[in-house]
Amino acid sequence: MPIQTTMAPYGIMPVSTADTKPIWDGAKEGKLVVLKCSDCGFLNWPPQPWCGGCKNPDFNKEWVAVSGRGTIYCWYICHDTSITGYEEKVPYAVLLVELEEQKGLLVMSNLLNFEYGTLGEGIENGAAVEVVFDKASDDIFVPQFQLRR
Amino acid sequence: MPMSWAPGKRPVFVGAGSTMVRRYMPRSHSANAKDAATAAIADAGLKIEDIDGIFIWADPNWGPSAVGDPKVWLDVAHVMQVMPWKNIKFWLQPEAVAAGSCSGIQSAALALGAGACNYALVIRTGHHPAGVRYRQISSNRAAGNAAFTQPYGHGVGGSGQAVSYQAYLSKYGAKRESMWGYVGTAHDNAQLNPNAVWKGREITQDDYLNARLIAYPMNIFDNDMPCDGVHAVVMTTEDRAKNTPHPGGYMSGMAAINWELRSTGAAETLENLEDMGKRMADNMYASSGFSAKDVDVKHVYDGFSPMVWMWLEAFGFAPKGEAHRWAQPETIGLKGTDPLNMSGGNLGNGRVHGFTHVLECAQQMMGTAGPRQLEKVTVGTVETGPFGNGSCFLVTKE
Repeated sequence: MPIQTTMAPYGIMPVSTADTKPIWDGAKEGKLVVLKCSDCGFLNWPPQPWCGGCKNPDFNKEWVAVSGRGTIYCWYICHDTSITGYEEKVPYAVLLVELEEQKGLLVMSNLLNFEYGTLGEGIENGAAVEVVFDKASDDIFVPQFQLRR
Repeated sequence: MPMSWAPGKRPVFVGAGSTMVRRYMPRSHSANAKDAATAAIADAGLKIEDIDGIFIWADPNWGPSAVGDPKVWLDVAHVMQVMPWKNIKFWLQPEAVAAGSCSGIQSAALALGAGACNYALVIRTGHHPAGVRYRQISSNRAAGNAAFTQPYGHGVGGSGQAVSYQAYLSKYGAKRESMWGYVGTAHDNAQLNPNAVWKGREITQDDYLNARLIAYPMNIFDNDMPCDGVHAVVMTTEDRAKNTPHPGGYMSGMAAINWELRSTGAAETLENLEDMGKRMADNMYASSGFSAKDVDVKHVYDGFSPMVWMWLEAFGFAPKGEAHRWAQPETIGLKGTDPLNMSGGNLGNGRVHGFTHVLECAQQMMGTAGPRQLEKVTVGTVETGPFGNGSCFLVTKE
C-alpha cells in the first residue's frame, strides 16, 4: 500500500465550536491540547460537560498541552466506502492511540508516514507513536499520529 | 436481594408471532406489524380486546429518518393505528437507542407486575428501505464529539466494534478465523428457522473468510443484514397465564448497562467495556438469584459478531479471554453442550435489533420453538445491545 503522508483533502472537515476552539487553536500551533479537570487532574478527550474522572459537572476546566506521545491501543482497516469523501482513500487504518499522560485516554487517528498492509500488516498494538498535525484547511490542522523512531 | 413479585403476578410469556425477515420486503412494516401482533395474540389463545398494554423499544437506530417517521419507525403511535384495539390502558416506549430490545420486555414486565395492565404486547421491527445505503455518512462537516472521529473516516458499519475486536484479538491471542465457529453456527441455526433471512442461503467457511471486508478484522458476515420483518410477544401475569395454552418464561431478573463506568476518550477501552458488561450481568444474576451455571437457554446480542465473545465472557458462560475457543459448534451448536442464539440470532435471522433473541427465548421457554426446541429448558437469558450498551433479563421455565 502506498504511504499516506496526509489524509487531506478531508471529506469530513472538523468544525471548531465554542466547546472545542482551544483544541483547534492549539493544533494550529502544533500543540495537542486536551481538557484537564484542575480539581482531580483527569484529562478529558473529547471535551465533555462533566469530568470523566471525578464526575463533577461543575469541574474547573483547564486547557493543557500534552506531549503528543502515546502508543497504539488498537486499530482497524477501513475497506468500506459508505463515507462520502473517503471512497478513494480505502483501505486506510483507523487507530486508537493511548496517550502516555493517562491510562485509557484514547485519541482517534489514522496512521501517517508508514507503509502497512491492507490487513494491517506492520501495525502493532503497543507501538510508540507521536502526534503530527495534518493541514486540512488554513484554520484546521487535524491531529494525526505517526510511528516514533 | 432478588427482585420479587406479588403472589400470582410474575410476568410470563404466553404468545409469540413473527413475519418473515427479508431484504426489501414488498410490503409496509405497518402490515408486517399487524401480522406479527395478530399471530402473537392468537398464539397466546387471546383476542385483541384482551390486550391492554403495548411496549416498544422503537428507535430504528437507522438512517436518515425523522423521529417517528412511520416509513421507518414502528412506535406506539404507529401500532395504535394499525390494529382495531379496544381496551388499551397503558403503554411505554423506552427511548434510549442503546437500551435495546430487552427494554420493551422489561417495561412490560414491570407494568404487568405492578398491575398497570394485564396483557401486554411487545413488538419490534427491522426496516431497511431499498435505495438507501445503510449507514451512509454524507455530511462533509463534523462538530462536537464527531469532530474527533468522523474526519478520520471512522463510522462505517461495525467500525465501533472493529476497534474492540482488534483489541480483543491482540489481548487474548485470538484469531479472526475462529469467529467462523459462531458465524457458521448462526447460519446453521437459521436453516431451521423458517422466517430467517438466511434460510436456504447457506454459506461455507471459505465464503466467510473471503467475504468483502468492511472494517477489518470484520467483514460483511460479521455484520447483521439490514432487512424487513417484525417480531412480537405477548406477556401476562402468572395467575392469568394459567388459562393460556403454553405459558413459559417467568420473569426472574433484569438489569441495564452500567454506563456510570464510562470515562472518556474517543472510545472506551476493552477493559472498561468488559467491566461494564460484567457489572450488568452480575446485577441480572443478583436480581434473579441464579448464576451463569444455571442458564441453559442462552442468548447474547450478535448484531456484530465480536460482541458474542465479549458477552459470553461477561455473562460467565465462557472463561475470560477464552470465548474464541469456547464458541465453537460442538459447544454452542443446537446439539452442543451450551446451545446459543438458537434462532440464528441477528446474523442468521436478520437485523431486528435483538428482538430475534427475545422471540426465541420466549418460544424456547413456552416449548414452541419447533425444530430448534431444546430438550433442557430451565433458565433462559437474553441480552440485547452492542457491547458496552444494552439490557438483559433472566426467565425461568416454571
